[in-house]
Amino acid sequence: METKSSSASKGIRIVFAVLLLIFIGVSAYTIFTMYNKTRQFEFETIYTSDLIISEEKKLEELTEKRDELLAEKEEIMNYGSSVKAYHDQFFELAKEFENRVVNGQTDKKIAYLTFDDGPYRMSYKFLNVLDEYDVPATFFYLKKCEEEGFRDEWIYDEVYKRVIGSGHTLGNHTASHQLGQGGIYSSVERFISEIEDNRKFIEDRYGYTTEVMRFPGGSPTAGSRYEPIVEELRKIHYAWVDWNSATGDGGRVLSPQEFRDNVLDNTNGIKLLVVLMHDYSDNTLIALPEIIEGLADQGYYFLPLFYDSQAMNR
Amino acid sequence: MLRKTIILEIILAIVLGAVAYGFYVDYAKAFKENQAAADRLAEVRLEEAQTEKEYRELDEELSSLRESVDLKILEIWKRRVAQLQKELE
Ligand SMILES: [Zn+2]
Repeated sequence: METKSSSASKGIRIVFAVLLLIFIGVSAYTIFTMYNKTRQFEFETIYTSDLIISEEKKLEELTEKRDELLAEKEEIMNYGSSVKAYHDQFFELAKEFENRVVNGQTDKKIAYLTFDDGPYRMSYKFLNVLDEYDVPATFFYLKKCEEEGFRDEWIYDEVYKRVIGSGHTLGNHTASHQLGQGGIYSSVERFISEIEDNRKFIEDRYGYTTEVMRFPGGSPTAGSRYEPIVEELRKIHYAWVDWNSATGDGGRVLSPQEFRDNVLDNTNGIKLLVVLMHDYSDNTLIALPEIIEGLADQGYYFLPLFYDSQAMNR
Repeated sequence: MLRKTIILEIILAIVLGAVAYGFYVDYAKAFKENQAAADRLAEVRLEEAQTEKEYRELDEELSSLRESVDLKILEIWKRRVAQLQKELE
């Protein structure tokens, strides 16, 4: 019995030992495999994380580039309204600036460069100078095309487009500018019809509505018609302006230096300086850069005229 | 004697099991993190591909749009507004 049971227990022990060995082996293998896999996963995760960081950076840059294009597209889509928004904002700021200047809240003064009687063949040269100095101005133009038999029509066309397209103000100076007997001042109706004719001409061709005007020869030239005319001008939403500074290029031809000095030596601290010039004058063209520089040195900031400007009469 | 052996073997099995479980927990964690990272990478790449596609389409669209409008006047008003704002500061 004793030996039988001892040999039986020996057998069981061997079976157990074998099972144990198998168990240990399987466990060790499993643990080893898991350990290896774990390390592999960890390594991969580190590598992937680096990749994610660089891909996220790429994505961020790409998103930024795309958003820029989106903004540009939106701007183009809303082109008309954004131009109007900036245009309106500019004139709101201009009003505020005028107030500060007039109320003495700043040492700055304002100069309004104005050019009368165009368009001319050489107007673009004036526009080039204004572009170069990044200075806005005001052009009081006549309706010339029909009168001059369309000879210079295409040049005028370019001038109008450039004046409007460069943010200058286009003003009304009547259609014909005809002074004297039977001219624009012969009756109120005649004068207003000239203004309306020129306004319609510019509106129809260039989609631009003029709302500032200058009397040909200046408002005193209207004589006794002045009061009834301005009464009518108010009804059709026009503001008008004369000038308190001039090169004198409408009269005797003087040298560019004299034209320049006529402006620069006679500013007399005027806070809102309206400078009369003509874009047909070679010598004004020569003097223009020095006039701009000289006025800037005297503390003048350049603005285009606008309906609500304090320089305008309404 | 036999009983002792069995008990010892059971203890050994438990210890081994515990060790294996410990490794398993690490393994599961690493696996999950690995999976999450892979998913995130796929997500970022997909988003990138989409953004890239949108960018290309927009670029193409804009090249013709840019020609259709003259942006000069907008730039001018923007610049003038900025200049006046500076003047008013
Ligand atoms: Zn005139």
